[in-house]
Amino acid sequence: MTKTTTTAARAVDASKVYGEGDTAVHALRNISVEFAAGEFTAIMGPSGSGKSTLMHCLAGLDSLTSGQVFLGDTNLGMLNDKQLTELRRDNIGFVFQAFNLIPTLTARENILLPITIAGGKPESEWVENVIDILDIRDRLGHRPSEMSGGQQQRVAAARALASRPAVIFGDEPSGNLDSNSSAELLGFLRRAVDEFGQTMIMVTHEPSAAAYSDRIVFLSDGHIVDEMRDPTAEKVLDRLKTLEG
Amino acid sequence: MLKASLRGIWDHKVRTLLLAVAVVAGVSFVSASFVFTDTIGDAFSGAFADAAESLDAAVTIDPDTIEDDFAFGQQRIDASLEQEIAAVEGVDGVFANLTAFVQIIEEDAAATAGFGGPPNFLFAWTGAPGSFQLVAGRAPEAGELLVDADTAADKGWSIGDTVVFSALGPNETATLVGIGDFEGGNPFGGAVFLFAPLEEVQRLADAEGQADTFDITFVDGADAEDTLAAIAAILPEGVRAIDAQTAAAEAAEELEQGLSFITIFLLIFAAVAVSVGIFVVYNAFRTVIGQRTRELALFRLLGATRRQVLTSVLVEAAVIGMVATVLGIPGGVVLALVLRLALSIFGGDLPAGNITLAPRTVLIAAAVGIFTTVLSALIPAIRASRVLPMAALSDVHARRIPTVRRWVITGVLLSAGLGVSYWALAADQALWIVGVGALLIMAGTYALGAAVSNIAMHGAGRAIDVIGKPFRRSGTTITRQMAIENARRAPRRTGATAGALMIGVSLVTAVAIIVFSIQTTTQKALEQAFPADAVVFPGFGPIQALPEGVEDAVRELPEVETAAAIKSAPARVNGQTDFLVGVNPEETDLIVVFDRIEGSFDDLVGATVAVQRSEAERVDLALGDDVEIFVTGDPVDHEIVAIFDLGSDVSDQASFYINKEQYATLDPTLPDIQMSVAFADGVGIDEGKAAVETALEDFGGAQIFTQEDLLGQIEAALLGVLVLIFGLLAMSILIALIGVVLILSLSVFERTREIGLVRAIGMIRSQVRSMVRWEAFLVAVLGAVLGMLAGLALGWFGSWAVFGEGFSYDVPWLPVIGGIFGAGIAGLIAAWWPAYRAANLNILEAIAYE
Repeated sequence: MTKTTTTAARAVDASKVYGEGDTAVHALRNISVEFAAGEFTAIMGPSGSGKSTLMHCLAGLDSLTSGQVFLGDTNLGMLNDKQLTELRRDNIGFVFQAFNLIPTLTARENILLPITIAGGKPESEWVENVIDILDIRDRLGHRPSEMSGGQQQRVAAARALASRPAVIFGDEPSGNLDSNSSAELLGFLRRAVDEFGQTMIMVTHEPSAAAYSDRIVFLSDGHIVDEMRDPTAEKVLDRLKTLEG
Repeated sequence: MLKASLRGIWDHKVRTLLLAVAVVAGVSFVSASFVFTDTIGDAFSGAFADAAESLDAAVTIDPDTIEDDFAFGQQRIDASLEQEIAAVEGVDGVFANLTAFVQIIEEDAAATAGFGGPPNFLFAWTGAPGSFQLVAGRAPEAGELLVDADTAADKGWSIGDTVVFSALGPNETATLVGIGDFEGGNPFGGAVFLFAPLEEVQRLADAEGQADTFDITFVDGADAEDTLAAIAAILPEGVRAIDAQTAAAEAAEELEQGLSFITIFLLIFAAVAVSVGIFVVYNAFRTVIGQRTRELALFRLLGATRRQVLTSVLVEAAVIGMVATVLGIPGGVVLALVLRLALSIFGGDLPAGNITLAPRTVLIAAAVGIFTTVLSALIPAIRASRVLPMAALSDVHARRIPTVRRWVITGVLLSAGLGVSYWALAADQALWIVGVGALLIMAGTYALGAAVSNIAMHGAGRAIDVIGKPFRRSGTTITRQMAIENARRAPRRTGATAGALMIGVSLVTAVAIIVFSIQTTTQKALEQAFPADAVVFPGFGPIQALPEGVEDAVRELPEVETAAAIKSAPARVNGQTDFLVGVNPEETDLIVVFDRIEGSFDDLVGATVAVQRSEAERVDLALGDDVEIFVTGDPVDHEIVAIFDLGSDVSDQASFYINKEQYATLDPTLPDIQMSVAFADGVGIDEGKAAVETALEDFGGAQIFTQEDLLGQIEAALLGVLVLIFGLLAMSILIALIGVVLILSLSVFERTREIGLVRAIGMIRSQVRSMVRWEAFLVAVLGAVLGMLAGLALGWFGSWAVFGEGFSYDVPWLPVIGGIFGAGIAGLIAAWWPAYRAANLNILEAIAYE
């Protein structure tokens, strides 16, 4: 089966500088990279390599100093705050490392939050399907404080999937979880990519997490230094050793 | 540790400033009341001291010999004493002083009319040395006047002009022959000073051969003490000699005392403002301590002692108190200036002069500012000092649910408050007990706020869901729902924020109800108990008196059926001070509506009295019993010839009536005080009024009022009172709104990460703002509703306290309900800054925020 080669997101000549003058930090240096639709991409690299900055800029949470980022055909640099926010709401899903959920809302309310914020009606069949796949049906009436860390992250994943976004961004989604819960969550994300053609871009520093992806982009010091297809944990670990060494 | 807390203050400048502002109003009110009192006091003492500088002694009535307050000011000294004092060795000059209250009659009747306005004094011109001296023209003779320069300039008078005035009688005409002025300017702004020869003043003041006081100068080289003693030796009983400066100080003090009610008034509002400030500061500190738990625990973990943690919080509070003091004292000075200006616009006679800021005022203001802030922070500080070091390592944001205990506290406070107030009023206890009850009601309502806030928020959400269904825009439900959940997250905080607002709103509501009740009661009373078509009142002066001859002049009008003037003054009746009214027995029907009369008013001749039934029952009096009445001279026994009920339920009517002629024998100088008028058949109210007005033109100042006029006057006066009180209470509501701003800012700060998250997943800025505004709106409405409930109770007890049994209770529902919406809108305004901050948080920083 040949994969479609549509691009879900891409960065063109992207640079990001924090601060000015002597104290300037170059988080991204003229990066150009494409993320194919329906693919699960991991972004890896040592701390300070710029991997989080790249993700934030791709997701419209941060802006570039120079260069462009596109989500589909939309140039994010051309959007104002409101348009950018609505783009995130309608076309992007997020799973952060922790504190993904609003503590005052129940799991169901959290899942539907982007849709209710948009004032839209959820596609109930799809949402129910997602809830079942993530195995959180019995938690729907609970608040985050009444759920385990793994359950909370699964609810966050369900929220990200609920509006069928163009891309889901994960920022160390399994970083706070034990290995069982971590495997469970990443397995679900993998299923979403395989079964529903969901595009997934995930920042991680764990080789075991990156092994769930189709492709890994390695960053170091603001540059893209390497790429890897069909990774395994061992291959990633080896590659990281050379990268850091 | 100290450094850390000072750094904390600097890092949170806006918070510190807002907290300080919450305390500022209280400090300002306190300083204003002292600045005002001192300023007026200094001006008066200075003016009187200046006036007395060239004098050596004064002879006055000895205030200790005046037994009854109501007789004060009516006692005078025989003017012939002048010659005897002048004969004492060492005495150089003796000057007899006498003052009459007069009214200048303007050509424009409207300018003359009306109550209040600065008093017009007519003094005897003595030529005594002092700060007031002739500057133009000459001293007045009979039929002539001298006037102070300010008044001359104000009225556009010059020497040779004719002045028309009235002193409790027909209009007088005099020629202006002299103008005098105070050295260094007139310290008594607004007052009119006229001068005439002593004999003229004696005639006009109905004080033939009498004087109020004597000013005395000594010959050069005379021994002051010996001379004073020599004068004292020849004075009759009840008259004393004092040195001139003491006399000046006493006179100044007497005037100041007349203004002490303003100080008390201001201090009451200071107390309200301070207590609201305390709640706001307490709530803010509690919230901040809650948020800083980890930080404080870290300090403890690193070895800070409990005492150090406690001190650091209290130091922060003290700094805020100091900032408040520094801001509050100038605020107080401005407030005092504004008050003086306002009072002089409304005709108060207040001396101009520099503002006095005494060291004592600064000390008291600083004490209030710093002490209240530290006190408010004390409980949070103690809590902070109890934070365990281990709390640094755990997550401490636990949701607190109102406990049964809180409901019990609320119930106990509320029922105690309602019970105490009811008992105190029903059992006729002292008023302060009612006050204690009122405070308990407020405390109970405050506790109710915390207990009920979650349910209330939930209920409000449901209600808005139902009401708002047809109007709903997409995407708004979630912001409101999240706002409600946020308010419910910290019920005590929400309750306390609403509670601070509750205090001001409850007082406003209570005052509005009391004033509204006064108005409707008066209206009812006028309709029930106003048998005449119109009433003539004297229009001027602190001694209210109808000009002589008015009664006859009005009675003779063809448009008038009859007119009946009465006398009324406080008297000592059976050992108690009470109002005693003198009436003409044939005309009682025109004065009051009497009901169920036992005996007859026809027998009210000579030493007889009619007594209201409630009073008769209270002291167990029956027809034929004697009542001892003391006005002036000796007490006289009066036989009860009538016991009556009043035809209305108005309780402030006099209880004792005697024959007017009898009154004249008890006190020959007491003038008529008001006059009821009945128009002839077929004469319309307007027609009759116009006729009487024409007749009154010859009698300065007296004015006729129909029932409608009186209602208008009362309404206008009550409106003025209402505006003044609301203006001052608005301060406390403002403080409470600052509390809303503070707490919302802190909540936004606390929820930084959540706000970052919802922004990341697609909440646009306007939705974030709307979320914060909804919370402010609902909290403000909760506070207003609680305030209204407490105000309904306080207003009920207040009306009862004002009117006594059988009081009427009228709630101005429209403004009260409107006020709740107003509070909601005020909440939205208070939310502006926190909402702005929340919407403009940097998303990435917010998400990463610990």
